Amino acid sequence: MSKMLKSLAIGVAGATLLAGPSFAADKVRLVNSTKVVFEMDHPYTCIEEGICKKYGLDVSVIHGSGGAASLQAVLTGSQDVVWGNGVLGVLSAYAKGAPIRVLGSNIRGVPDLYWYVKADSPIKTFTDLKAGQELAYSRPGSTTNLAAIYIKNALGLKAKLTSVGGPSGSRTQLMSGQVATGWSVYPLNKGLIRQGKIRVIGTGKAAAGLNGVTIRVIAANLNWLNKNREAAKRLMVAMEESRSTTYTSEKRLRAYAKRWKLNYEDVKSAPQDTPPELTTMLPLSGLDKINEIALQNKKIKKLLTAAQLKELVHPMGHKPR
Amino acid sequence: MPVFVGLIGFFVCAVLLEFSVEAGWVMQLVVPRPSDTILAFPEVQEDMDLFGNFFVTLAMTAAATFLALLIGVPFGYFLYRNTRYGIAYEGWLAAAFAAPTVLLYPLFLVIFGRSHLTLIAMGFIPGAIPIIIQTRQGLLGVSRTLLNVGQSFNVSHRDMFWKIQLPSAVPTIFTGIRIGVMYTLVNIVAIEYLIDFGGLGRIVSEMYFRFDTPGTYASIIAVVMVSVFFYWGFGRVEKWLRPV
Repeated sequence: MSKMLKSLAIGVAGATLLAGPSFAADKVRLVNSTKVVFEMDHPYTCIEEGICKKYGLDVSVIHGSGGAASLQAVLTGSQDVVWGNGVLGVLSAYAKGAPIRVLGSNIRGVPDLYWYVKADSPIKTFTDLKAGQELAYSRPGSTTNLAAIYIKNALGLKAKLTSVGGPSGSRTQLMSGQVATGWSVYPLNKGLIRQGKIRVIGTGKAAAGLNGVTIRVIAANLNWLNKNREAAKRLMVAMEESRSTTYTSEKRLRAYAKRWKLNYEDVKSAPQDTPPELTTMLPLSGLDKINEIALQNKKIKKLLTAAQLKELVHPMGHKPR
Repeated sequence: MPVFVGLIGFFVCAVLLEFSVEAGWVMQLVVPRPSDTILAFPEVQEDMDLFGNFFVTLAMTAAATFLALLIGVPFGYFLYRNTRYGIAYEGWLAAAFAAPTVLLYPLFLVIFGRSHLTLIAMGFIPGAIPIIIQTRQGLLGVSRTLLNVGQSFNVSHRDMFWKIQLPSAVPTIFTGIRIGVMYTLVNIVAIEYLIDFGGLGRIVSEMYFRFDTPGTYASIIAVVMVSVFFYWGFGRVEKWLRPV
């Protein structure tokens, strides 16, 4: 009898050890703020290359349909982390008492945004835009709106800022001649550039005032963060490793192209379109400037104090000091 | 009395919601306190001209509904008169009514541009279909006895239609109109929201993107008021057309 019990105990212990790693993995529900954008692919690298598993994380990914909807999923606790959300939205939600904290930067500046015209348009660059011609952006208060304002101011343009909706709506309105310019984000619509149907007149790099300023962030639900601090820290380290892998691996670029049914030729230059030095998760820079922009755009009713900004940011999952 | 009972029910629900949010049972970031929503009205008015945009959405809905009536009722009558066409198109119309036409907005943007015409056109389609269907159904449902009485008095075709068939079909036709106007309003507000153009839908979108929950709900209430206006208005017209 005692021999049988001993065998049973050894068996149970062995099974526990074998099953250990899978039980130990911390579940993280991550919502990608939007689809296709190159910077949204790092979580997939993390999962598919076994990086998340290496750090003891079981990450699931879903996609939101833009800033507010994706953020709302995290605020309500149905998802734990939002990836690549507009920083203005996060600031706005935080100012209204939402349980949200920023873990890191997703991108500084808006180098991946670009503006284009029809191939036969006489407009060659932003500065060719005449008074009254439309410089497109998605919607008021969006990142594209911000970029368009900063481009207009930086270059002294007389163009009219016009809200056209997302990249597909923008393309439709440009191609049907309703607006002079369209906007997009690399690598979307690159096929049209390659086919010579549209021509790029400038990128978000022209929004000089936004260069170096954190525009999109990685943020987490505060309640989840408080309960899973160590998992959050490991998640950020894993994602930083995944980011490096995405940038340096042809396999990952091919996987990215396949996932979104993009032509590999169009995504090959993604690391140049979105330079890696702008997408490191630290530093989170220019928050003071974003604070002012948020106020100007009525995202917040009064400027966040230094203490509030400090409370908001938990760099790489660490508590603010 | 029924209005009073309805208002009491509404008030009780509002109070319950107020306490639920206050007690933290409902997340304030998702559903605001009704008192906060009321207080948000002046702010939204000052910031986004809620009142002016109320009339923009109202006018767009009225124009689309008018167009839907103008085409829907005669077409419904045509399908009633021509049985072969009526049977042939009934299934197609029902299928078209069930289709989410709002998703066709990029096509309408190409055709009509980023203008109020797009809103009216997109509001017209879901509005016209139930009006066509219900007009045909209403006329088909006129009691045979009433028609026989008319025939026994040798009334003309014209009088038969205006004095017997139409009054008898009015309740069914107005059911179609009420359904139509609601779908018209939903489509118009949805497009305003999606393309960030026009009246109340644009305000709902703007408030939502600012995480201004009381402001979002205040603008949604304004949309409900447009709906109430049409519901009440068509009720009055129906009573006028068919007093008994």
